[in-house]
Amino acid sequence: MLPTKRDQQGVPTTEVWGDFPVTYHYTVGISGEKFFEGLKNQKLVANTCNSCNKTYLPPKLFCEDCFDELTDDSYKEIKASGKLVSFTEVFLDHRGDKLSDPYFLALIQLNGTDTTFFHKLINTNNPTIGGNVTAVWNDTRSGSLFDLNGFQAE
Amino acid sequence: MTKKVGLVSAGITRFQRRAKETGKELSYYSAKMALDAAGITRKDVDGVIIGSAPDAFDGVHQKHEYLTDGSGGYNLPTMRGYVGGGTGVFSPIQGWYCIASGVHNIVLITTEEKMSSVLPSTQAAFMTIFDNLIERPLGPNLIWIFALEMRRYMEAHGIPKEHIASVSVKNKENAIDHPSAMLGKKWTLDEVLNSEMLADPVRLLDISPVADGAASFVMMSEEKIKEFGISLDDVAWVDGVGWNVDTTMWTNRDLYYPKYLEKAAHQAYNMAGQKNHSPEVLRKWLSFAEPYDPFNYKELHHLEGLQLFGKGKAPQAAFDGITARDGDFPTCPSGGLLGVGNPIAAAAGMKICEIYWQLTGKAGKRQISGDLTRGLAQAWGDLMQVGTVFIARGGRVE
Ligand SMILES: [Zn+2]
Repeated sequence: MLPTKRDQQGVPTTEVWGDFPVTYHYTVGISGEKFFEGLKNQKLVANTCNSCNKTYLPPKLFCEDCFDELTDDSYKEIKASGKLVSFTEVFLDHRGDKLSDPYFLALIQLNGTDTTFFHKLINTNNPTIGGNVTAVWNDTRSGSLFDLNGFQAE
Repeated sequence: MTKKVGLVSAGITRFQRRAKETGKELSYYSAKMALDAAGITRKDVDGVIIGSAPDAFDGVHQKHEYLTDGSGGYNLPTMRGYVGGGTGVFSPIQGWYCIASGVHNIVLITTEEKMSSVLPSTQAAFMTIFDNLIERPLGPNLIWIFALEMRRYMEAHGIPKEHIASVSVKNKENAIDHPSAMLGKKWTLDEVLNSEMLADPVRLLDISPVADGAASFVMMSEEKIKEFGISLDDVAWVDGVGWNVDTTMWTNRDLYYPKYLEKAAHQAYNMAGQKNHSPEVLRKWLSFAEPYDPFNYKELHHLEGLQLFGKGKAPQAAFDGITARDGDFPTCPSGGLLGVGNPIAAAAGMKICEIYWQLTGKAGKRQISGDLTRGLAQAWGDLMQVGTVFIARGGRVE
């Protein structure tokens, strides 16, 4: 799991270079379209399973437990605030190089949902587990995860 | 009625930061070692299992096909199982059901990982296992999300970091006695606690190193064990297996407790005929365990999921030395991933090798003293939600 730098790898080996030369244009899906459309309009859209009452954020086309289809009327806007479940301050990038600006990532349980949401925690130096946090929206929104700048303490 | 199945040998390469060998060459060395140790040749084998984690590490898509020759699969029924980090313990489960069902009689199983090929790092490849819509934009890697889980676990039970760090000290020291190990060394608790901060609360010595390596084992039906005249002293019977997957989204469950593993453990204990799953009873029934330890807290988290310690109770037990190799209930006598190294599928395969070697008295300097009856190996994978459990018992244990 340790991030490795090439110069840490030691043993001299004979190598050739190559890559996986593909890129992707992912579809966001039925429930994803509602979620990202919501972000663009400064709304967090979740949905609830009628059978077990579980509320998913982001919303899903189906309940993974009941296996019921969650239809159009299952979607609803939820308030963009909740509780901090866990957080980490990140000091290294993917290469194992030190970040000049360490930052916080968090798991947030939005009020009224049964899932946690993974995003940045901003404007904080000393997060409190269980504390209330609220969404900070980006002024320019395009239907992307970064329509949210992150969450901050209330 | 399922057939009785035994492990009859194991083989392993050195775990290294960057091996000179290709993935298939590593596979060949461990597979050949396992065949030789069983006293059989590839011609005796009638089924081959390959276990390997994401294709992106080796940089060859469909790498089971690429690994087939080195794993002994030429002209044989061959398949690959893949449940991320859980793979190395899932592969022998596949071996078990191939024989227990009567489909095969002798199965050669190889677990392999070559993680050094990918650039700029394995974490860059790991990023592609995250949800492409709602997680990848944040650029997550496994260290970061395990940091979130570790903090949740510590908060839920008020666990001091010293207790968690003691697992690194124990496993890295145990690894001094493992010939395949990368990181066998005696560290102090302070050195672990003060090592470089990666993603708070995770520090450098809390985690295991990526590696290249392979591990293999041979399984046989009881009839074949008799036919080849293999002594029961060299056999470890498959006693119980279990596997389970929790919610697809790692964010959709409470990270303080590995429910995925509780379910897999119940399945394995029940199959082995052990109906009482209380920690005290299970720790007497099993002689030792190899819980999955890519991070030090995960060994403790998993011991609780396995029902071997109550919720929040494993950290104190580890700190008190109960899980030392000479303690009341040894865990990771091999040195674990923290000490031997973490070539994903092969690292969990190494745990199966350790169960076999311990139960047959072949663990050398790592041998746990006393009569060992049963050992358990466990791994964890996919995106944090798969548990795989494998229990074996000594060849002469009823
Ligand atoms: Zn439901």
